[in-house]
Amino acid sequence: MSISDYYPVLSTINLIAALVVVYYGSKLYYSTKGATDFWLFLSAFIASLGAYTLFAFVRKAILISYDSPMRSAQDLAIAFAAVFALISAIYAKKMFDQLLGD
Amino acid sequence: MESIKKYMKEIYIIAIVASIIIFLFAGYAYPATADDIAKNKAFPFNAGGNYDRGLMTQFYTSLVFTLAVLMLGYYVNSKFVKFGVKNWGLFALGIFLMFLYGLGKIGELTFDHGLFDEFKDVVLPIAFMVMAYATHKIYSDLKGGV
Repeated sequence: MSISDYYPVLSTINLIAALVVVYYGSKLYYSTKGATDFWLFLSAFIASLGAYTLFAFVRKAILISYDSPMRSAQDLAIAFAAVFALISAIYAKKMFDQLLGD
Repeated sequence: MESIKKYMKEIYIIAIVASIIIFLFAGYAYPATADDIAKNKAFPFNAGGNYDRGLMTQFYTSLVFTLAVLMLGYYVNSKFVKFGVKNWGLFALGIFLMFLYGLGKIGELTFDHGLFDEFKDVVLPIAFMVMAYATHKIYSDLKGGV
């Protein structure tokens, strides 16, 4: 029994936790009246990872015959996650510089 | 605790370098088993020994993802954690676990060993849960006027 046998359970945990992060991320974004774009892009980063785990779940559990398109979708999702992570990094720096009043 | 926070940037860099060294060491210490070779997922060739563009794409997207998360972790540690903003240490830990997930993905495609596959499958839910809890704590503090 390997860990990959539990993949549907793990990807469900991933998806729920990702939704929680996106929920609080968007709440933080709106509570700052959109002033800290860091939270917006961080939510987009986590949402992309959530989409990645969703595609992985669909590929392994439901649409086994659509392996290649699902893998491509996963690659696309993780590429988007990388872009959003970089933008979040820039905004994290910018946000703190603003807090310090630089 | 406060004195540790001042050196978070340096600690983060050391943790990143140590993780990369451990992953490289694990890759060579645990070579692919016969079962791994039969299910071959190492880039750029598939189980039939043919060039597989999909595996090549997966490898490069994993590389870019890991580097991007590394940058995000660096700025979170060198700004928020270093200056002691409340609950950001937990958030930075979540980012670091995401980085380990990226390393696991690269290791899976480079060393062709089930060990890396299982590692990334386990570390991602933990990373998500840590980040979910951290964002909840940060939001609670913000609403509490801290």
